[in-house]
Amino acid sequence: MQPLSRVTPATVDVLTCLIGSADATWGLLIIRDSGRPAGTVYPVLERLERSGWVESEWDDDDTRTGPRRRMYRLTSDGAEAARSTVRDFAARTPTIRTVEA
Amino acid sequence: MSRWPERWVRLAARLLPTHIRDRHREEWLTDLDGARELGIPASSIAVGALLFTATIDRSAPEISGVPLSVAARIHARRGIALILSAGVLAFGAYFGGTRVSFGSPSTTEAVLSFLASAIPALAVVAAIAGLIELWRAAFFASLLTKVCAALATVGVVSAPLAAIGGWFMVPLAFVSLFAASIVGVIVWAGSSRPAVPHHPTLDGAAPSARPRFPLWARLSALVMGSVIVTVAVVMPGFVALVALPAAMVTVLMLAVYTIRSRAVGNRPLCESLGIGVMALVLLLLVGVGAIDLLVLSPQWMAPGYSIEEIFAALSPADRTLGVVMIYIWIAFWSIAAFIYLVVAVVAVGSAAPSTHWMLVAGFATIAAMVFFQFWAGFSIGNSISDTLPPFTGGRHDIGALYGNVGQFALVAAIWGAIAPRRGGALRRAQGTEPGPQGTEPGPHRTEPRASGPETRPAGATYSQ
Repeated sequence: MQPLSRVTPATVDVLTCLIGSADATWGLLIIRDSGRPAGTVYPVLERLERSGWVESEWDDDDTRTGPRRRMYRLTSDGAEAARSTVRDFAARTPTIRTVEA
Repeated sequence: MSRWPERWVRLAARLLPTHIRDRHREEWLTDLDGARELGIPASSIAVGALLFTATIDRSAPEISGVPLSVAARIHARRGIALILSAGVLAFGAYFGGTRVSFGSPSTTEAVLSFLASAIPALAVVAAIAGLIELWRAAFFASLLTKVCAALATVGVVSAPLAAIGGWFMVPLAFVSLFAASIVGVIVWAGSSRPAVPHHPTLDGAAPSARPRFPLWARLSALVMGSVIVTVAVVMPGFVALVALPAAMVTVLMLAVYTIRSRAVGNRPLCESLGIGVMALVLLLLVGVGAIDLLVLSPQWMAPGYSIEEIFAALSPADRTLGVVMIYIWIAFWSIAAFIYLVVAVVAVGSAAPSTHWMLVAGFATIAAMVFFQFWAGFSIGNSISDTLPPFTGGRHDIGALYGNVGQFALVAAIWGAIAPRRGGALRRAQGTEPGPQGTEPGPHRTEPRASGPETRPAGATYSQ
């Protein structure tokens, strides 16, 4: 896993969504829950995944038809680093957004 | 629901690197389907997909599918090819001189005028792009590549300064560019070949899949090529004839080897046509060059005289020397073009030489042919301009265009020989290129199913 070269408020919002989810989360739900536009969330997820913080897979919902959903979850190392990152960011930025997980 | 968001999403996916395209197309289409249900505007997904495509780091190994070490060498080779191309273009523009017109401007003159302006600009663009490529390579490559980039930068910056009057910059430009070339060749020859296992060719085959010439054939070609170039440069004209039989023997030996290896021949029709067209272009250019030397340029230098009057006005010694030089050029390059045609006919039915190298050899032959055409006509041109009014040198517009053709042919040869192509072979090697029957997997499933197989480039953390 590689450290993030920059941590933005949007990155923290996405990480917060992922921390709050016990299972893998659909990317579209992260967009909705973070309140960030897709144009922000997609690149953040890609950067997190490329850095090894997040892993993704296709959904295994056999009851659905059509294109598959892409599900994201934090890696074990990523979960630990994400909590630390969110905590540090909150300490530096008292007005951090609170996001429903 | 409007179809526009879906169209934009498909466009955004289409613009992604091949091996991550299907994954994101399917992901975004799913998100589009679910957007309304979650109260998210479909346009937001489309914009997000476009922004993603526009901002993704395409140099990242997980995105490009190319390891960093290979990417560095790809940039280095591309940079060297661009710098050399810039040198060829700048050299031609600097020594090409200006055009003097004795009549009303023609279409050809308009083209030449355009080229006279465009070629220096093209050289500058190529030089800048080459430096960028070299520094991109140097950013994550060996010390040797960084040295090459630094030397090339000094040379490329100081060369134009030398050309516009800073004579003291000439040694600096020459030494740095020469050193950059040496280091560049070391980088290219020493490390890029084993590190670019998928070095593609125009025929899309990986090197390991195509037959190689034996060592004796490659060495003899190298030695004979060096002899021909050295002799032709030092003593153009008569002595070049000495090298001609040697060159013919070498080419025939290679042709024999090619015939023996034809068992694996399976060249696509379009590639065979390409080689055939190149052979015909070579023959055509010999004809055009001969007409320019014997008719067009003499009459251009002595307007108002017939070609018989022009040659009659010359002294016997000047006339004989000038005409013999031209006939030697015609004989030499006619045979060279004919040999290429023979090899092309043989190559069409075999697998070696590859289409890529046949075309590179064709462009290199054109460049050499045009270069020596200028020198073959130098003697007769001097004699005419010294003997007949308006007592000025130069050449016909067709001859000038001929020179431009040679310039661009040399650039093409350099580009084909040095710059790597990340085309079909690389994608095929990664197993991500759609099959010939249009087998690109569609994103939709009609039957519920478990998650599909994951493909992941070696060493990458970016799953498909």
